[in-house]
Amino acid sequence: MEELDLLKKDWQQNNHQDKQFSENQIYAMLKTQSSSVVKWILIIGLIEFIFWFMLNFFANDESDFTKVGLGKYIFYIDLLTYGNYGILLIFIYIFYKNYQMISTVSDTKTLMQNILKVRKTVNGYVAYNLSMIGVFSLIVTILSLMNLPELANIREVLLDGNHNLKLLLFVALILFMIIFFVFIFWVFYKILYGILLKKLSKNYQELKKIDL
Amino acid sequence: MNLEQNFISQLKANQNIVHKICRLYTSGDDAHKDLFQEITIQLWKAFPKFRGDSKFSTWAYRVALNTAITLYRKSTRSIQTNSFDGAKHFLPQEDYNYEEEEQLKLMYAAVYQLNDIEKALVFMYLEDKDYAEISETLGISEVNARVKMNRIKGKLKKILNP
Repeated sequence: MEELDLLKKDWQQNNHQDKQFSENQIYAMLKTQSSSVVKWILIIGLIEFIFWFMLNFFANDESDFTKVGLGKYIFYIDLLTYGNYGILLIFIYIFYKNYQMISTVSDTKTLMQNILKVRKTVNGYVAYNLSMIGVFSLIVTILSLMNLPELANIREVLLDGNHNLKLLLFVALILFMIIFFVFIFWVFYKILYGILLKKLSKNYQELKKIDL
Repeated sequence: MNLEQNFISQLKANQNIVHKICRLYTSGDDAHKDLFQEITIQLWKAFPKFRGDSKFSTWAYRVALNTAITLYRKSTRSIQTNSFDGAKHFLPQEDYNYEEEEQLKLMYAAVYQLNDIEKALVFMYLEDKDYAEISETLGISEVNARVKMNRIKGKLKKILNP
């Protein structure tokens, strides 16, 4: 293409020296903060880990479970709690490993893949926590309904066959809760991918398209 | 010489590479300096791992391009379209050199209209890099880099002669 070669000739001849920075200016730049995508992903990822850890840590009060008549299930609840911490550690390990793989010296596609992997780890973690809350609330609700003596009336009313509408409402409430959690996750996902990773994801898709 | 001084003097000597990338990916002095600064930070972060077995410039290409395409968050696409429209008003002239200069202006404006990945390919083409290096830098196959480059040429032609 003739025009592109003309451009190439000009590009090579032009020494591009209209803008030059002095050593002092470069030194000053070194002292400024990066605003790169990777930095924000790290910060937001860490905040999410801390947030969910705190929530798990403070929400697990055994006396509450005893109060709602679930005292006999404490062993399983503890098992779940410690299992939860174990899974948190696994997530943090994968997060850290993937984060370490991010290198600006790798090729563009690999770099993008590695950044997206780090973000996917945190998204997986958020999804895991939300589904845990969902499942856990569901179990607690059902167990309370089955066990609490105060709820014996409600139990009978719900299951006597004459109150199908109420039973339906109850099921709808649970469904609504699940949808609500999925929605929260979706918002998280959209915000992070939309604002933070929009450009990167777009360029990654573009690069992948070339190699199809 | 300490690491920091070493880095600053090497970057100062090779800063044209970074300026050229800023020129393709931004418009306006502020945006240019902003991207230059982010690239400088990323180069400095990666510098301890720079072994010196490749040339500083070759190494800097990668980090700078990766920063522009992947790490840098601001996009200046809307302004780029304006600069293209601006160039359009100057069109036909009899004088040959003037015509060539106008054509160059149009070419630059057309390149600005490409997306980030296409710009990267054009940048390396303008820098006279071969397809092996283009494919290695971007992480795509050599054949596909070649095919894409041909498509970009077609796209540029279309922008210039709509």
